[in-house]
Amino acid sequence: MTILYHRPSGMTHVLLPPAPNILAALDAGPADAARIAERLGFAADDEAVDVIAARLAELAQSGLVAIED
Amino acid sequence: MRHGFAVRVGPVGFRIGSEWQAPVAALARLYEGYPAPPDGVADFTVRLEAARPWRRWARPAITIRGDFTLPDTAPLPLAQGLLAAEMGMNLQMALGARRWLLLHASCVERDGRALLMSGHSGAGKSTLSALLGERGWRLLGDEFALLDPATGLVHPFPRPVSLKNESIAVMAADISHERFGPLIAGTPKGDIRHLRPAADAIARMAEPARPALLLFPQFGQTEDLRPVGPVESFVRLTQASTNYVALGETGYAALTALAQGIPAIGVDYPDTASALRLVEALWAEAPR
Repeated sequence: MTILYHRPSGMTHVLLPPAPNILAALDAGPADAARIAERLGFAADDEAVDVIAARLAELAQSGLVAIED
Repeated sequence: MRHGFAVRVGPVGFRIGSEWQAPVAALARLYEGYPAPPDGVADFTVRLEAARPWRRWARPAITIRGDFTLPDTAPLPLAQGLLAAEMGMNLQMALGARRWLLLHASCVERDGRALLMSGHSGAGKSTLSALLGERGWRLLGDEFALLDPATGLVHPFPRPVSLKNESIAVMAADISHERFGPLIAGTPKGDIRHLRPAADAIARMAEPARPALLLFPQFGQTEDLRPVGPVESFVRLTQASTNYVALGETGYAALTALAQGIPAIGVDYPDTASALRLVEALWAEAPR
């Protein structure tokens, strides 16, 4: 588990893998789920991308990532 | 207010005003030997007021007011005036203190190092800290640990220990009755009796200590020890803090440093004798 303090909202989050890994992968710049899977060294199969996409949606919901249209 | 009392506990000065003489007299007896606030200036004010003007005399009932108040608190009977004052002081700290991260935990010190004990009401942290305070440890506080975000040190806040129900008799067996407040019966938490800490705890109330070990005691179970990881420790301490959210990133930094910096152990204990033995054993093993 990883704890994260979100400065813009002042909220503390407790994150389970792979959420912290996804955030770390986004340090290199905006990316979609497939690109994140690649950055994390996963084989870009459908399963890994689906999992990352689902976590990305949750992170977006809690305000930790922004999704561009 | 007609009657008043002022006292310093650790780094905090309080003044308590009351429409009745009895609660103030009880406070003065209980806090015998405590200093006054520096220069007579208090940080927080508590006022014990009549719920309605006529309730000063007719079925007298105390409403707790002060710098910080909670809405809809039920008035207490005058017989529980000391409890009302103590609750009022806790409330000021819980709602108003910003200089420290406040952890709902008891704390004792030995050799300059602090042992923190956190747990829900009834877990035994008050009783354990009171017992340790009579057995070679210095009581820093039974209710709040004041964690300084700048230094990581815990500041003493040695209020009288709030003993409840069975623990009253346990402590009264060994300690002079002069250090006890009156028995306050029939409170929402049962019987309550306050115990003034040992003279050493009051004399050294300006000396902070470095946290060294965090325990999460739990009473009434079979004996068991369980290491608690830093994330769980952190989450439990956020729940035990009254001002974590208010302090923002300062609180976060202070609490992550504490949770990552010292070992934390869950301690289930069936009776106080085994609790004391377990605490001493864990303390002996704690890293220096």
